[in-house]
This record gives sequence, C-alpha cells and structure tokens, in this order.
Amino acid sequence: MYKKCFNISNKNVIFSYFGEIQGAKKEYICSYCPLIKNVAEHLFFLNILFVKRIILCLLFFLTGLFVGGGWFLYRLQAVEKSGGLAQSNGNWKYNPSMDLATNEFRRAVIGKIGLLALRESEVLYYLTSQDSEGRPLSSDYTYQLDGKNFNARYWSYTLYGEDHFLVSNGAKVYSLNLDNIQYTDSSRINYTIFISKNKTRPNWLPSGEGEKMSVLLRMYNPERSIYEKMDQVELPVIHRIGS
Amino acid sequence: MKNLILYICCLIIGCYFGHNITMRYYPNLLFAGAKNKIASGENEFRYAALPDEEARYVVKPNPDFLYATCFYDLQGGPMRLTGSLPDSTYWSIALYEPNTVNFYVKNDTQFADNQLDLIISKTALASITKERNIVSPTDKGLILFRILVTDNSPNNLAAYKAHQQSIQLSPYQ
Repeated sequence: MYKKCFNISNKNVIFSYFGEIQGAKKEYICSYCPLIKNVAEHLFFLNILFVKRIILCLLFFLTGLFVGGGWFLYRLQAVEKSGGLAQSNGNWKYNPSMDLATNEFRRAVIGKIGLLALRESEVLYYLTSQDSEGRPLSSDYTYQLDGKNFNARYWSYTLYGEDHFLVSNGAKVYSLNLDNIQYTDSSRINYTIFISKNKTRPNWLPSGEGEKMSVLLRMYNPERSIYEKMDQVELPVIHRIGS
Repeated sequence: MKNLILYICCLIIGCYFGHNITMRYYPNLLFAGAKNKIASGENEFRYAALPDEEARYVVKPNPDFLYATCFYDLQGGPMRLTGSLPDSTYWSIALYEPNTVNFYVKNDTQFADNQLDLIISKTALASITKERNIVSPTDKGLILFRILVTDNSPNNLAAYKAHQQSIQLSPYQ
C-alpha cells in the first residue's frame, strides 16, 4: 500500500489501488500525503502529479531547445575558427559550391563569415587566417605574400579583422587588386604583398593594432580552368618575416 | 525510472528541435540585422560610399565596390528596376531571399546593354520577356548592386556614383 501510493503516477498501480479501495478495506491511507482521506482527493492529487509530469516534460523540452540552440552556436563558432569554408588548398579555405539553398548549416556559416556572398559561378572566395606554418595571422608580425596573377576578370586581396570587418588603419588601405598592385616583372605576373603595421615597402596592406586577421582572395569570373582545379590553383604562401 | 527516461526523451527531442530551428533561422536573423543596420525603407535604394573601416553593415565588405542595396516587398505587386550602369567596369545585380540564399545573379557581360530595365515579380509575367523578368521565390528580399571601382580618382568615382544613384525601384504598372 505504501509503495503503491508512492508510485501513484503509474497507471497499473492506480488501478490495483482502486480495486483495493472498492474491496474490503474501505479506509484510505496515503503515506505520501496524510491529508488525503478519500478517492476524490486522491484523484485530485493524481491530477496534480499528472500536471506536474507534463510541466516537467515541457521544462526538459525547453531546456533541450536552449541546449540544442547553444550546441548549434558552438558548432558554428568552431567552424568559424577553422576558417568557415569546407575545402582546403594549402592554408587557404574555399567552398566549391556556394549554393546555400539546400545546406542549412553551410548557409548559417556563410551568413556569419560572409553574409550576402555570391554564388561560385560569379566569384570564388579563398580565405586564410594562417601563415605558412599554420600560425594565426596577427598584426604583431610582418608577413610577406608572394603571388601570381590569376586568370580572372577581377581579383583582389582584402585584409579583415577578427570581427570580419575592414582593419582600421590611418592609411585607409584595405585591399590590393589586379589594377593597383605593383608587379615585380614587366609581364605583370608576379607580385609581393607585405602585411604589417607600418609601411616599409610597396604593396602594403596595413594590419592595424592588436588584430587577429584573415586575408580574403576574391576571383570574379575566373577562367574555367580554375573551376576545374580549385584545390590545386597556385595560391600564395604567407610567410612571417618579422615582428 | 520511467519518468527519467521520459524526461531524457523530452530533452533529446528539445535538443534536436533547438539545434535545427536555430540553424534554419539564424541566417534570417542575420538578414534582419543587416536590414536594421542599413536602415533604408522598403522598396527604396540606399547608395553606400566605398566601404572603409566605418562600414559595419554587412561583414566582409569589398572596399573596391560601390554598393546599392534595396529591401524589396512584392506584396503590393511587381516592381520595376531601372538604372544606367557603367560600360567600362564590372557590375552585377544579385537578389537574396530573407534566408540569405542568393537566387539570382547576373553581371554586366550577361546583359545586352547597360540600360537596365527589369521587372521583379512573384510569378512569371506573360507580358514580359524571360530575360527582363526576375521571379522572386519570396515576397520580400534584397537587391544588391556591386559596381567595381579600381580607379577611385575623384572624377572616376563621381562618374560611378552617378551610375550608382541612377538605380531605382518603382511599382510596375
């Protein structure tokens, strides 16, 4: 009786308990709640327990909603830290497909790191936040980036801070592109870019103060051959050359 | 014990829905955030200057682009998009759903000329050629123009800005 009453929320026990009440032993004793003296009160008590169970289910469900949402944000942050894009070409990350209609996670990631990006048919994005040895790019150091011209209608390198916005600098220089970059040869193929706090040489990208950075290479309307080997396109290596 | 299993099930189901709902609507939140920051009225273009460190409307702005943005609403009927775009540089028009999916993009080389005259509607309009008609999968969305400025000398920039500000959205009669 004691146990039956205690496990009051179990349907089978409730039924057997009712049987007992209707039998010889008319007296009701509820050790769980001594104030309950009859079946009506007991049913009322049962209802309270049922409602309590529903409320607990809802609370667990709501907790789950928050935990699930938090889990998604954690995943998002982890992917963002690793560059946010799916494939690698050296230390550069890229997305072979920017069709975000079908992949919800990819859509969220791209929304976070590059809201309103274009499809890959229009532009290819290569992003890096690491130097040649895999260390995070930081404005505490000077970097040298040796690259070659790309077969694209327009390409550019842009430096972004950790918040994905342009790096604050007094020179108001934020990017270098195929037209304003200085090539190291007359055939306009090779170039060297320097990323540092202070200007020391041409092709300077100011890195601001106390920033963790990323470099985004955009190629608008690249040649078909680039699409065919996105993971093998010769991309520049970023060397740390000083502090 | 049975109660505990029930509660754990509720927790797991909650986690599943919490994860997927956040994932599905997170881009919509970002889109709404951008809309608030850009703060233009609906069906009204906002013409931005070349982005610099102060440009904090949308992440990763390209400092080589003049942007023109418009949050459109087709509930009042189709809209007409017109503009006189430059013929000497790259430009493109891209349309986005509120979940940030880019459902339409075309650049200058894909248009017959630089005098733009397009109709945005929810369903295909029989009276308009397919090339002129942009069918939007949603009532609301964003139009984003990018005009490339690699030479930002004052004269050149002024000319491009004139092109940028020629872009207009009006109700289609």
